[in-house]
Parts: sequence; structure tokens; C-alpha cells
Amino acid sequence: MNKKDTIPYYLFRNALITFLAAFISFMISLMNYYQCSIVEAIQRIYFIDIYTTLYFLLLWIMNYIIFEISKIIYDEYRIILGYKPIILCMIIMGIVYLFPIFDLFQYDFIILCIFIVIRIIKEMLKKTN
Amino acid sequence: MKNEIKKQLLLSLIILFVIILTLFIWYDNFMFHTYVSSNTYQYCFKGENSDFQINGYEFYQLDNILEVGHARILCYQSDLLLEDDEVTISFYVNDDVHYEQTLEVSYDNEVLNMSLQDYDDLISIDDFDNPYILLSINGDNEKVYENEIKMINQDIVTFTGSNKDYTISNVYMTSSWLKTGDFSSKIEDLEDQYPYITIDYMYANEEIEVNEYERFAYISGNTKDILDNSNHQVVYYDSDDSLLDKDVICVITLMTSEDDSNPYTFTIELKVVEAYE
Repeated sequence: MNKKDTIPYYLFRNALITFLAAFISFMISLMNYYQCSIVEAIQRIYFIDIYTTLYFLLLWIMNYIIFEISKIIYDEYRIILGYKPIILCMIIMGIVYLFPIFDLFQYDFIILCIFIVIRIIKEMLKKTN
Repeated sequence: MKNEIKKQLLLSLIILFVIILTLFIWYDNFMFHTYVSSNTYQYCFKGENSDFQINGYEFYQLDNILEVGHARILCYQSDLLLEDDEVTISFYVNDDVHYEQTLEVSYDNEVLNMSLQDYDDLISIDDFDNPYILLSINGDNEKVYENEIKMINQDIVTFTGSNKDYTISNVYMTSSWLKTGDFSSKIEDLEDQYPYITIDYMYANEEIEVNEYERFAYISGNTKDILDNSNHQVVYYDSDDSLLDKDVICVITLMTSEDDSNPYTFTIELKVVEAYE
């Protein structure tokens, strides 16, 4: 498969995992706040209020762009950076966890950082193979 | 770094900046609409025998206090409830726990309305084990009536609705009962701008005409009191237990004075949040 053929696959994968980051963080936050079931939390994201739904979509787009930026930077400086981005992501996760921002964003950034770290590890393994 | 990648990165950063700015600007609005106050639980019981119907017996939690009661008691027999009788209503949650309230009959065949009583103990749906009400009537210092009425936990549907600045949440409805919800607004000095408010709950009356709404319940008063959500009205729908089939909307009227001839009026459609089984 040449590189062009795999682009839609990578776009879809990135869209999916960034969607998951936003979705999981919304679910945890709403279920914590309302002490409600998964079904009700999904209802609250998509069917109750347009402001919630739009905010969810914006958060997803933000995740997508952050993920793309991390990809561009890592792919460009992979040789110089090595494993340092993983440590950086861990530090960011720690700061976000301690920083007094709303829990929704904490979950979102932490999940996103985990996905970025997983991608970096995958790229490192690919390279060593 | 290649020129193409540089451009890509720059564009991504610009878009990221715009999105973060948008998220930041709309944060308050998002919080107002997404994280509204809610009760931990709300139950409503109904029961009847050939003599009495008890509807709208509530159990709900408010700030770690259990609120119990608020039911309406209708008597089917014309000679059963007489003036100065004492009616004792004991709700048996299970064999160990019961909540008791005594009401005095002011006139013959009165429709009795129980008050809400506060308790410290919290309750869960698992505590209810064949709940029933022991209803007894004392007249002239002797017991004239005593009977058990089996109570059934009714399916409750929770509604919420909002527009940009106003939210109505925690409207609870069963097939024959509605409890008005909590009103909140993003506008900080709403009570100064409009000191008086009326919230009407209307349903579409298809018998009259399509899009014709009939007022079913309302709360009215000082905007400040209603924003504090200390005032909940309970209304009963006796026709045919079909309240849940109807579309309910809220009409909100904000007034600068009690007899404001040009009030600010708008409607909020209510949506189902959760349907309990």
C-alpha cells in the first residue's frame, strides 16, 4: 500500500480516537455530576441542549487539531527528540491533574495525552523494527 | 522543516487558537446549560381502594434531607370524611420504616392535601418492600375507619428545557401528576430587571384545535423567590391518566410590575431527560 492510500485510514483513526477522548471525558463528567446511567449521559450530550452538543463537537475538533500538531512536530523532529515527548506528556498530565480547571477538561487532556504517548511508542517500535 | 509542513503547522495553530478562544468565550453558557442542579432521587406513589384515592405521595432528596408527603387524598364515599375528624396517614415503606402524618378535616368531604415533612434519613428504591398506607379516621375519640391501601411506585419522567438565557429543569411528571421544576437564568440581575414572574405549564389540547394550548399548572410570584426554587407546585390530571402522552410547554412571563401591561413573554419546550422504568 502506498502512502496516499493509507491517508483516509489515518484520518479516520485520528478522528475516532480524538472523538473517544472527548466522549469519554464528557461521559465521566456528566455521570459524576448527575449520578446517572450511561444512557442518560449520552442523552445529555446529544439530545437535551444544543449548547452541550456544540461544545462537545468543539472539544472534539480541538482534540483533533492538538493530535495533528503533536504528529507534525514529532514526525519532523523524531530523531532529535527520541523518547523525550513521552516524558513531556507525562509532565503535562501531572500538571493538568493538579491544575484547578473543570474536571471535563482534565479528563480530556489526560486521555488525549495517553493517546499521543501510545502513538509515539508505536512510531518508536515501528522504527526499531 | 519543509515549507509545506511549516504552513500546515501554522494553519493548525491558527485554527487551534480560534477553537480555544471559542471554547473560552462559550464556557459560561455551556456550564449554565449542561450542569443544571438536580435532585438525587424523586419517587411518586399512587394507590386507591373503593373508599379513597391517594395520589402524588412523594419521596425526594433535597440537600441531604428527605422530603416526604405532599399527597392528595380524595374520598369516594360522601359520608366518610366529616368535619373535625382526624385522618392519620401512615406510609409503610417496609415492615420497619413508616412515616406518619395526621390531618384534621375542616369540612365534610374535604379533599385533603398532605404537607411535606423533613427527615434526616435518606432512602433508596430498594428500601421499598410492598409499600402501603394505613389510613385511619378518628371521629369523636373513636376509630371510625381503618384500612390498608397498597401504594404503587409510578413511572416518573423528568423534563428539562432551555433557551439561551433561561432554563427550566427537574420538571417531574407521571401519568396523572406534575411537579413544577426549577427555574434558572444566566442573567445575573434578572430579579432587578423583572421583579415579578409567572411560569405557566401548558399542554396541547387536541380536542379543541391543533396548536391550541391549555394552562395546566402555574407558579407566580417574586422572581427572586422563584430563582431560589423554594416554591414547587403539584397538580393532578384526573381525566384518563394520559398526561405523559401530551406535549407540555412552559410559557414564561417576566414583568416589571405586578400589573405590567407589556410583559416579556416567551415559551420553552420541555424535553424528556430520563424515563424511569
